[in-house]
Amino acid sequence: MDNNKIQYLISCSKDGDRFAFSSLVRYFQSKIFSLTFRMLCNEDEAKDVMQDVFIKAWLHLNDYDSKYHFSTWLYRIASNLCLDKIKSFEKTHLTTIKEYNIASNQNIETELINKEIAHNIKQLTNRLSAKQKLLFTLRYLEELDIPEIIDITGMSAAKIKSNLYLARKTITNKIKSIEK
Amino acid sequence: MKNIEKYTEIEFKHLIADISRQQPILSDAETLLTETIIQLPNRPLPKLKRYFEFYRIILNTAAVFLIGLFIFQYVTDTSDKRTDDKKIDTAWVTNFKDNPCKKISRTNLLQYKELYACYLENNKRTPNPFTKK
Repeated sequence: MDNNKIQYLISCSKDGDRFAFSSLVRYFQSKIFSLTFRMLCNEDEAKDVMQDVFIKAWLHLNDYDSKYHFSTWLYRIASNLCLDKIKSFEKTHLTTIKEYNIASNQNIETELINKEIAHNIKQLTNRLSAKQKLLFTLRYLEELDIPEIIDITGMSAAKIKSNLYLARKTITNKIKSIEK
Repeated sequence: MKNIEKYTEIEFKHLIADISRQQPILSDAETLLTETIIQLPNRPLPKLKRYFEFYRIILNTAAVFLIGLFIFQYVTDTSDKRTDDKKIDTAWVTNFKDNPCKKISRTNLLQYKELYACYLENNKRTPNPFTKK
């Protein structure tokens, strides 16, 4: 979908066209799910947050600045919601987000693949702070460039780089300790 | 030590490449989409539209009030007119049965004027030549 079409769909959505907005959701939901899943490492939570992202986007469409990519704006909302979710888990002293029940879901194969991905990410990032995890996910897993991360997080380039350096150091230390 | 550092750096790159390649799968994407669209609340109106909406309500109320007032005034005027007409009948015609003006028919307003003129003519006072000015 090219940018002109996206902008057209956004302007229709601003007028309350749900069908236009559903096209936007269909196009961006896998991207947003990828970020929320990698941040929360839980499929159900990731889906819930993803839905919240689109509902929030729908309600605040008038605040969207067209000089940014729509995906950047959605990533920003998703990042904030994920950070809030992680903070709320930390507040309730849940260091690990609960594992999801495989038996209750019909699509076992997908669940198993997602569970494996979640396990790998968790193992790699469990020592990172929420902010470091977000930056690590955006930079290395979502493969976004620094200017886009600046737009998403609102942090300065220097701060992003120093946080990424710390995250990288924590992870390489972990690799070293595993090898020993 | 440097080799270990380099080794872990390579390991890190491999690991990151591996994990970033593993894309989480969104199962039931269409169901989720439908659920999301159903959950969407009504969009809040933009500021300008909100002002328009506010003034629209006020103007509508004022218009309804004015229409009501006009109707009330119209109804009141008509009933007053009817009462006045009745007063003319009783005061000029009914009470003065011997009045010569009674011969004039009273079917419309013009004839009422004629009747009034006749009444004035019959009741005019002639000046007394013996009284001093």
